[in-house]
This record gives sequence, C-alpha cells and structure tokens, in this order.
Amino acid sequence: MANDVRMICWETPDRLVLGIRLANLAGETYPATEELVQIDTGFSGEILVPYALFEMLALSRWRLPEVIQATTVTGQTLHLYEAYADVLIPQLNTQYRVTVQTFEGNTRFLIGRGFLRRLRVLLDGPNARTCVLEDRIE
Amino acid sequence: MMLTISLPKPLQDEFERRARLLYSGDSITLALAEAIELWMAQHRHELLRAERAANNRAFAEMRAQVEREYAGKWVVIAHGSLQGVGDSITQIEELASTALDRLIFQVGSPRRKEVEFGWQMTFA
Repeated sequence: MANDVRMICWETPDRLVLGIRLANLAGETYPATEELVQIDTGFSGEILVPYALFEMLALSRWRLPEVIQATTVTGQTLHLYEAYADVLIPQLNTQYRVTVQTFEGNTRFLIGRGFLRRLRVLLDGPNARTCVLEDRIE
Repeated sequence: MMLTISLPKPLQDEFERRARLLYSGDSITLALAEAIELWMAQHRHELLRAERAANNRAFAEMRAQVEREYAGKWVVIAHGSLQGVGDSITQIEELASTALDRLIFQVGSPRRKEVEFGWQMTFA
C-alpha cells in the first residue's frame, strides 16, 4: 500500500482562494457551482459569511446561542452571530460541518484559520495558485 | 381559516374593485393572501429580530435548567420556548421548521467565546 498525494489547485494570480460552496442544513446551497473564497489567516474562526448570504440561506434557523465577540487589529470589538452550516469543496467531493459567523452589515466572505486546520493547503506563489493536498491511498 | 375583519369602507371598496380587475374566481381571497405574503416579506427583518430576541431571552431564562437536565443532548429553542430535545441534530432539525430563527445546540459542547479579525473595520 503506497500513499500518493492528489493536489487540487485554483489559479489565483493575486489572491489566495479556495473554491467552495456553502449549504444550510436543509441542503440549500450557494452558489450552484463554487465560489472562490479568500483565505484570511488573520481570521481565527472557520468561515465568515456576508450577512446577506447568512439571510439568503436562512442560517438563523441553525443559530447557536449567544453572540461571540470578535476583536479587530485596532482593538475594536464586534458581536457575531454563529450558525451551523456545511462547506462543500466540489472539486474534492468533500463536505465539512462548520460554524459560520457574521455580523449585520458584513460583506466579507472569508476562510479563516479554524477551517484551514482541516486541510493541507499549499500556497504556490511561483505558479500563482492555491492548492489542497489530499492523501490518496492505493 | 375563517377571518372576519372590518376595513374602512373606501379602502374595502377600492381593494375589492382592484382585486376583481386582476383576478378571476375568488379574487378577494387571492388578493388578500398576496397582500399578507407581501407584508410578511416586507417585515421579514423585523420579524427575524423579534424572534431572535425572544429566543435569546428564553435561552437566558432556561440555560441553567437545560444544562442541568439535558447534558450532551441536542436542544431546539424557537418561538421563545423549548421545542424539543434529541440525541442528534438530525433528530431535532424538523422541530419549529417554519421559524425564522431557532437556537440549535448540543448542551455542554465546548465553544470558543472570541475570534480575532486580522483587519480593521474602516480604512482612513
């Protein structure tokens, strides 16, 4: 039995992104194919979603109790809503149950360190791409 | 559902006249149902906020009891009250399925209290 590694990459000349879809627990997804979502290693949560997307997928129906506090680099604090959702990586055919976060007015869609801990990610600067490495056991 | 309401006479006459112009058959019922749906859509955000506030209040009030009685179980709070308890999220996800806001959680499950953003909210 030999371990081989499969590498799925997204061509991203100026940003570090992964192609994902977000789904609520009723199976409704956004978008139909995949969205290139930016990696933000400064964000310690799993997935930050735009408030409009949180509403569109009705994620308040899987909300966790109590808001949690977020702190920005300048020390500003915000209160975040948190809800269960699923992240799909169509090119890997994988799905992860996550907690997504948002706040009213948020327009950013980001992948944070909490989600990256589930994956092996290669930031391939010279080839202008971001890749996920996956063990393939033969 | 049978509903009896009194409208100001001019509004009622105008509503009935316009409903008959647009719909055949049971025009008043069709127009009224559309009006109610439109009202709910227009006020969705306020309704969501009201449901959130009610669920947050209910959680604060019943937290100690839930933690004492349902450790390890999955719980749903909606419409401002406890809707049910189960052994898995799939067992309870159909409860209060029409609610705009529900609290769903596993009692005692560890959870982070804080996150960091690597950026600031506004740029001068």
